[in-house]
Amino acid sequence: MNARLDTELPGGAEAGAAEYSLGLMPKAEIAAFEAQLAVDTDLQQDVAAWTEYFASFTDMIPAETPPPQVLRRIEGQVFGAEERRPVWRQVLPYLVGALAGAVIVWAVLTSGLLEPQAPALGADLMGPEGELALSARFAPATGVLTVTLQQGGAGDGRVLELWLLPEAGAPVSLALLRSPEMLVAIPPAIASDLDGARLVVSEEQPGGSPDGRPSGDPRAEGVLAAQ
Amino acid sequence: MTSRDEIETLLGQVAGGDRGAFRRLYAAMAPRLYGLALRILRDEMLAQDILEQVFLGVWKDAGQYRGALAAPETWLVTITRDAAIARLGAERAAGRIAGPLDITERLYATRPDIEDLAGMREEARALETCLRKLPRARADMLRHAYLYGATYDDLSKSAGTSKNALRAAVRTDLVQLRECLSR
Repeated sequence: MNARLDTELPGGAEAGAAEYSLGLMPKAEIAAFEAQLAVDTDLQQDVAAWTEYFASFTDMIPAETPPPQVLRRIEGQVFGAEERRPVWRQVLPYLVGALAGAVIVWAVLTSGLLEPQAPALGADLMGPEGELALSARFAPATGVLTVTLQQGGAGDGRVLELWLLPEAGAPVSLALLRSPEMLVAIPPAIASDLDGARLVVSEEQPGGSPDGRPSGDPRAEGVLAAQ
Repeated sequence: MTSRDEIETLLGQVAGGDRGAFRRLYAAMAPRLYGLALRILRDEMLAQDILEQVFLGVWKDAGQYRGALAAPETWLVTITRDAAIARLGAERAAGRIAGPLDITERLYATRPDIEDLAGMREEARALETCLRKLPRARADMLRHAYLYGATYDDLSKSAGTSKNALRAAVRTDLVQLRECLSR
């Protein structure tokens, strides 16, 4: 607490504790106040009491249910990627890193030598004005869809989300495209049906689509076909 | 509403790394904290960011909670309020959100009706009762400061008085408020 100020202003440390708890204390005085607070138990009690009283200003504010992706984002960060979503239920593919990419290349080469595979599938995903272009290539041997950004990108503070649109049923979110090349593991249950499948890229808020469907008009789209 | 004891127990379990407790704490508290952040920031994306920041902090720092000094809900509310006000300040400084005392905020900061007092918890009722003994405009300033991060600069501009005179008056109010609350 700044002693000089206290003598000039009414209320002394008691009023200071209230100003501090309200957020009214001028920034320049906060460090000195906190130094005093650290060693002064009476002042700590005062701040605690004010904090309790002023927090009651928020009692009348109605609660609002946050959208589910907030908890998903939080859990993804605190619990780690493996628990980000129940994979088989949400069909969210895990995102394969560079090291895994090397392993997959090896797997493609080896498995290609050992047995005949279904042909690779590819798609060019284009925006209506050509401002956004991506290519997608699916390797049936590994179940990995490689998505490469060729041109354009998401707007500021936005993210591109890749979707699989089945002929019937709800869109399936495949990945948030956060880097120019993404390797997306496709669950076997849908990997067998990809020939002729429609891929769509939408632009979403940073955590992805809030409602499990592409928002707005597609930024780009294309159809997977044998190459 | 989840009781104080339950929240306190959950915080203790979260401090020990209990993921189930973390989810239960989120389920119990996230709506209140999101409502608060949304009221302060009035932007869903910003409020979601704050909620994320608060719960990441809770996972990391639940062990810092000291039951002797604050009720667990108050601790969470205060963390959320402080984070939201800090973000509001940053957004204002960047010119992305208008100043703190626009007309919407005046509407939001209206004090509770007298008939609402009976339904309030003890601290809230005592505070509202004692605030009513202060000049109305200055009692509302305290609400503005807490809920919208209004500073003495903002408040004195809005009131058309000098900052020092206003600060002296507010500090006198705060002493009076403290006396009233201690009775």
